[in-house]
Amino acid sequence: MWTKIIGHVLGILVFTALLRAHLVLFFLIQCATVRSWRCFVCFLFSQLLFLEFGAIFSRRQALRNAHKALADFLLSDHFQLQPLRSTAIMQVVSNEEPMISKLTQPTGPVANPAVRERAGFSTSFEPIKIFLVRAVVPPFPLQLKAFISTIGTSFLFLRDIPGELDPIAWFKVFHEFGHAGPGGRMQMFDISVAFPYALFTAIVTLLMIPTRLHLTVMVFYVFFQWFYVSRNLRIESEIQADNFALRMLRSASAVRSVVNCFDAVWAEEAEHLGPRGRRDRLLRLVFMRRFLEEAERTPGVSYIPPLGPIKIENLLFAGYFAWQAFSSARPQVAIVVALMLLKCVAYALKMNENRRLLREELRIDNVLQSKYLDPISEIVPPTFSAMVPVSE
Amino acid sequence: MNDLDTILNNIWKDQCAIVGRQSVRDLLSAIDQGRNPEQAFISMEGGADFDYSTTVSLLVQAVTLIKLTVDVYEKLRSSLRRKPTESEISSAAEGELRSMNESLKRVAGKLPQVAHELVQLRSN
Repeated sequence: MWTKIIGHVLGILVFTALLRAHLVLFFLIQCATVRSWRCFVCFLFSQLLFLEFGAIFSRRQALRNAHKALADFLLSDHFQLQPLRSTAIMQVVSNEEPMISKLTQPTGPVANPAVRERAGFSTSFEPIKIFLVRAVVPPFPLQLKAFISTIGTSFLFLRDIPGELDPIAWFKVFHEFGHAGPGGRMQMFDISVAFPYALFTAIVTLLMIPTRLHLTVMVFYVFFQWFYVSRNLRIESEIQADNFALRMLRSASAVRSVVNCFDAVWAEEAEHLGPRGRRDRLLRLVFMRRFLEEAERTPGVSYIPPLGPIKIENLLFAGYFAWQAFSSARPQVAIVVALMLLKCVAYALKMNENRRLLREELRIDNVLQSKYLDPISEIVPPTFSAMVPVSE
Repeated sequence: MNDLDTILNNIWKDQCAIVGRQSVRDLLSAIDQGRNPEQAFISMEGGADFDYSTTVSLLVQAVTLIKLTVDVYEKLRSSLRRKPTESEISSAAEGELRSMNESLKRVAGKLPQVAHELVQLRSN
């Protein structure tokens, strides 16, 4: 009786939980209902893996990139590094964005300061270090304008003096800030931990429900996470950073010049990129164009959120965990198999949404179609080419 | 150097804007000094989403074409003892281009436009 009630209550809690909170409750439910020490150990390990190792992995990777860039610039005779005062950048940005106006970024293992503040933890901020890179002699760096470490100390390397930056240069700088913001940092965190966490979840659930069918599904699920999900998260983080940068430009004319410029250059570069690179760039361009349309339609520049993660998978998992709290062992096998598959289907739907958006954009836009249709024919269904003639 | 900068910015405006002023200046000075275009740029860690290797290689070709056209212009001017016309520059430069067509194939079609811009600049 009491187990059932607790199961119901926890089930409702799980249903309302977002992101990975449902996994915490999953293990708690397992502990409460199965009363196995294995579940408790798994719960502790899962938290340790996700919060600490995940943060360490992503932090290590980001810091390594930032420090390597710094070392390349410092140790090479080809470059001169000139530290800049943050006021040089602050002059052109308003106080709307605290992260930008202070030129600081939150620190700590959990990358989302909003979550930390809600949980009662104090959030410390550290300044972003800005340098102006001047090339003395060739070779010059191919990567241009700005790149930033998303977790840990950030370094911003500018190629031009802030006073000389045009809208496109500002776009690049703000794009990097977008990666360093709370949302961008959380996404980088997700990208870093998506695969190891899926692997761990698979191992743990296999230990609990060891069947051949479950094993098959888990192999499929982990492969799917490794091959598709992390890639999808990566392009989503780029789109989000682009949107942040366009929003920071504020003026519709600046947004138009940036979008038109990227449109022209990326279309030229499309033939030299692989199918994945073409698809990613075109997707970013489609979102930039939508932002521009919105900016021109409304008086001020408004923000269009990118395709967010589909919450249906979380709900499905939550439903499973709630069911598990008061169900017997036999249906669990069928349900866990079905839900793992459904989770994969949810991700597939999410990616299909991106593909649909591209197809829709290509269908209505003859210019974009003529630029991109041939190079990216692999993402367009065969019937589509016959249905819509390429404009001459 | 100013002519190179002006013509490059007039014809390949988008690419110059993407690459940035400082980088365009680096590129122009490197090509002007006769550096090997393939060794003028290096790839570094980080910022992979703004890695414009294709754009930079196009600009390198563009600067090479403009430099070649300017050289042809100067040669014709000294031999003809007057300012050459657009068609004279184009036909003379085409002969030079044939020998290096492979390395400049992406920008070769812009030769008449480059010649036009150069004549316009020098007539002022």
